[in-house]
Amino acid sequence: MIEVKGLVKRYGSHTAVENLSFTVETGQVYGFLGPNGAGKSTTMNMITGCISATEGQVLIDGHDIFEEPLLAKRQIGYLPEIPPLYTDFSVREYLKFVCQLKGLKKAEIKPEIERVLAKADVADVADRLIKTLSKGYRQRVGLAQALVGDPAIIILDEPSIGLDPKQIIQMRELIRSLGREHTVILSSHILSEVSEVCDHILIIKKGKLIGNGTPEELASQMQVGTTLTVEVMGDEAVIREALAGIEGEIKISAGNQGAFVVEITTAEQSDLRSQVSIALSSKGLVILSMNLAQASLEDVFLELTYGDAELPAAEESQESEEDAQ
Amino acid sequence: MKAVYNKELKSFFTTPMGMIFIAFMLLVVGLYTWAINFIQLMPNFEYALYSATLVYLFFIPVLTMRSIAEEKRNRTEQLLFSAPVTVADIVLGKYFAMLTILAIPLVITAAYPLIISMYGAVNFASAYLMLFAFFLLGAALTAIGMFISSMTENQLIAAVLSLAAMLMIYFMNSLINMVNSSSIMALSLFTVFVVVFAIVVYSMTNSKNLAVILGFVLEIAVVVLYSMFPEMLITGFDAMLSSFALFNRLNNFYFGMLDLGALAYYLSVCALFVLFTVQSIEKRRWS
Repeated sequence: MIEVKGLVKRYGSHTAVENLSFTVETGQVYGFLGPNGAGKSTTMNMITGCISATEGQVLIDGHDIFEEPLLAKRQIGYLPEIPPLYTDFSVREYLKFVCQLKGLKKAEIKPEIERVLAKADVADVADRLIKTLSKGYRQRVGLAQALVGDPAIIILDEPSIGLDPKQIIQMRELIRSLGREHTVILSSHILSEVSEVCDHILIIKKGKLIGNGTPEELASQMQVGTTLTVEVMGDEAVIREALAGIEGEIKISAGNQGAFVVEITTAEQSDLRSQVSIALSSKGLVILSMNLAQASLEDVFLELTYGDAELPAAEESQESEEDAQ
Repeated sequence: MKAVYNKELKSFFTTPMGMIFIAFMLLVVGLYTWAINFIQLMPNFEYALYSATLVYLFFIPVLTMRSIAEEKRNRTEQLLFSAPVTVADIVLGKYFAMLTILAIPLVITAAYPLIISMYGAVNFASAYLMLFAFFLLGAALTAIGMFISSMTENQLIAAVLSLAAMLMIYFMNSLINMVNSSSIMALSLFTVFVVVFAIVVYSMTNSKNLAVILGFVLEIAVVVLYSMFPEMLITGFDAMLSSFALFNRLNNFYFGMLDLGALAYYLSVCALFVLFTVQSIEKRRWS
């Protein structure tokens, strides 16, 4: 349905999006995940044809968005990060304009407005001026706008930003229900939101794709590990010696009152508590406390997007980074 | 194009702006008609209109300032750009909406020659020709104002720049007379043009070397021209400045002449600046 090939966007010497390639299949909900400034909005603006790409190609149902924009854009409904609203208009007037803009026939406009009003749950404010609406309502009016004309592809940039918790839940339900009839691409910097709603996740960092798969695939690739934190009294050299036989990455730092804090991180899930305890006490070291923590999906996502870690599946994008340099 | 046109027109009338524009235009044209045709007792409506061109200095910047700049600031341009319409559709829709706001009061003033004819002999042909030329002058200035609005996302900056441009155009004639006296004046102003040209080249290509080299070559050419044929520089400069003097083209209509060249000139300016506006928006999307 959507094919993105080698998409690049440069602003002067700054590269916002770097060699992005992926395919979006029909009838699924795709999540674009990445921290702020990762290039999510830029990518979405390119897919929808709002801005051009420096290099690369976007095919919407076989139509190049830059070569045949009118055919490609007819398939897309887009809710940008800031809902594009004319605040002097009432909701109904605004939606009427969007219907005309998308080239709906005169007879279709009235029922279409009623349909999207109901779908986005804004029928109760239909005749109010947009400038009098709260942020949550504005967001939903923006969504109603994206639904006009029943496009095959709906692209939502940070759809739940600025909403209150109850509205976020409603928005998620709405997105899930949209996913049954449309191809939906949404972006977010919140992992839980994406993993809850989406069938497929694309993780993007500094304009590069670093992860691509279903939530389950990503979780297994992410190698959820454990961290054991031990507080020990004694000499640092002796502690190192005692732990020599333990598998995992060992980090020792000075703690309170002459004690040392030892962190043992393992890649796989494992419980080293008894092993560590025996090893330390055999050298006469005193264990003050012990704590076993499991890294969550969220931690790994943070590590992925803010740290230097890369998923095994992302080797290709790593190469392209070297090419660029 | 029609969707954008309808929306623009509607937004002029959902706020008091549209009504204020129309009232303001009617007030100024009405005042001049009263002073020239009813106090000085002249039967020529074209004289009133000719003096009323002053209204454009303030009318055009306010009319055009929000046209493109506001869409940029409110990010509503993303709705337009992701919709199945071309940039030309968007720009023309906006342009024609502004022309409609300009035309409404002028259609009302079309009754004035009829009123004047009740008290004296009116040459309807020259009166209505002037009205048409007056509208085309407004259309050309609107295109320039819209182009300026497309270069910034701040309405106030757009308005101030438009006002400066309108003043420049309005006083172009005095400027030409000033330049006529000396070729050194022509040289310095040509140098300014070369610098501006180099800056434009730089902003479009991002290549400092190219801009500097082009600017340097052009400046040498200007200096050589100045040292060898100074009078050529003056005439060349004269022609160049005259092409910016939009208001002067009404002079023939003032004397009751049909100046087809002026009409063609106004239409060309309209087309040129609509095209520039489209290009300016496209450039922002493609950079």
